Amino acid sequence: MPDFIFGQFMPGKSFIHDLDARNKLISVLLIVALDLLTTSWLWLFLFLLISLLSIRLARLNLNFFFRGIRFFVFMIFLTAVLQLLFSRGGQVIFSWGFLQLTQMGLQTGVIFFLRFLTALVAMTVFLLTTSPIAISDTLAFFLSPLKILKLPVDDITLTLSIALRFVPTMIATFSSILDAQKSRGAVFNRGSLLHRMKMYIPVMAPLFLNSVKRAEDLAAAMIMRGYTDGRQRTRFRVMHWRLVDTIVMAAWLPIILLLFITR
Amino acid sequence: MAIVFKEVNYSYQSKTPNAFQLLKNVSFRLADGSFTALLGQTGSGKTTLLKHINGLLKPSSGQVIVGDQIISSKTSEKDLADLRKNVGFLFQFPETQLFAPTVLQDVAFGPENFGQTKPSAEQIAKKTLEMLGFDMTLLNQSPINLSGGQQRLAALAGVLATEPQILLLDEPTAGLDPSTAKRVMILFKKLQQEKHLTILMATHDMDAAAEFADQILLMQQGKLVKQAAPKDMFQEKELVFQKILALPKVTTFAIRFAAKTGYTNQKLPISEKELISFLQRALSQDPSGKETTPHA
Repeated sequence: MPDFIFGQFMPGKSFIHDLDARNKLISVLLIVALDLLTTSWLWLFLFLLISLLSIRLARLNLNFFFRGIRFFVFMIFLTAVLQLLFSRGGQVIFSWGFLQLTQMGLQTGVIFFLRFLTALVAMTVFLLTTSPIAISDTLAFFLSPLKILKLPVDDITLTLSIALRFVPTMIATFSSILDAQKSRGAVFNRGSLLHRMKMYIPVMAPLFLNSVKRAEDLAAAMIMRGYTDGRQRTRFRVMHWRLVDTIVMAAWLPIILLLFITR
Repeated sequence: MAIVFKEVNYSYQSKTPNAFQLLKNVSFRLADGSFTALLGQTGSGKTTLLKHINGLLKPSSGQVIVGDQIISSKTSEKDLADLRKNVGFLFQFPETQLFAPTVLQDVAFGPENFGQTKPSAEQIAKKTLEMLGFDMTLLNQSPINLSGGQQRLAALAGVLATEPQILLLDEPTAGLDPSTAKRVMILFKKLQQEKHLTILMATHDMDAAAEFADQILLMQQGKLVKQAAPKDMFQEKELVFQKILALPKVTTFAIRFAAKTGYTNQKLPISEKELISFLQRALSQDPSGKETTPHA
């Protein structure tokens, strides 16, 4: 569990850390969207390369990074294998019993894997290099037009940022309860699937109870400090769009154009 | 069961940029049936050390020997499950682990996991709760509805019901009212003396350490600074001065008394009884005793 890094923030100083959060979010969304639009190997590998490059640019340790997301990589790989075996069409390369590996299946499987791996890497880099405050500010920025529709944008983003803030806390609570139940003889990796799921009740029940208590305490603390609702708040931290952000955004233009032309 | 640490090192997330060494070359031996207090500031590695004894953490290098079982970095998860049968671990704020619909079921969870049938597990649970002086009318209540003190007792019963031979306690009395805290400490002492349990207790309560422990382990920044009996440990004024060690109330009082009266050539007291004789001797030797009555 301590290896889990999704949703955590690693403070630091690097090219990626210093980019404006709005810029980073747009870039991540662009990578994911463009990756879904194309089926060309060249583009798929190019996008994967860009997202891998961003790990280096963020000065994150590669080994640490992949240990942190290996669970998700494994899940994507498993889904890709299923795709590989069960999508039919084209030339049959290999068959064993009812299982059949076809050219079509191979293609969908590999493309699926590349797409989701790229999206996962890009998203993780974004979350690792952007502080929760910057993330919620970014969401507030993009959602702010909806204020016209009387949507409580500030409240929504505050709730979101609190949720993000509590991901590491929840993980810590989870592992401490897990340790306590292990000490009382709970074994989590033995028996049937149903039995294993049942064994998690002694962990999940106190975890939820704890979270509710924590939420109540937090609400009380906020009221004590004079928080009413989010409207007309001023910000201590103002987002700062720099020249380099404009350059990164501009670099996307030829990529988008080329992709649509070669389609 | 004896507990032995042989040159134990432990690093957290050893292969990441966050890598941090939490235990540094820790070696000690705790005799079978002893009561040891584990002292040290917050973050000195007390909880990490405790987690090694029931295999929640494995040493990065070195060995932990519990009874006749050796735990090293290569020990399998299955062997650790056997180890946990003999080692009970009361976590800090253990009431957060309560989960079952009733107190009885929650306490029976441990013994059931370690192979008891449901009726006999509940039998043990009742016996344990009774021993702790738990209000037995609350047996079929949800643990969530209990008061903080009763919740702590229920959680403690959940650990003791597994009938361990070693008991690891992580600040067992933190946040308890003074009378319950005292009762719980006396119970631990009784378990050591009557059932021959080996107890290791991490604590910030120097008074409890002085009163109940046979010996003290003192940690600082992942290192074991000193292992000694309480009466010797609390003489270490140098460690107190460096803020590595705190003192029981009576000892602090005696030091301040000595500073005012200039009476220093005696061993510092660590209990009220010792304080009384300390003062008697000090006052009888001092010719101007009337002026130095102890209100330091």
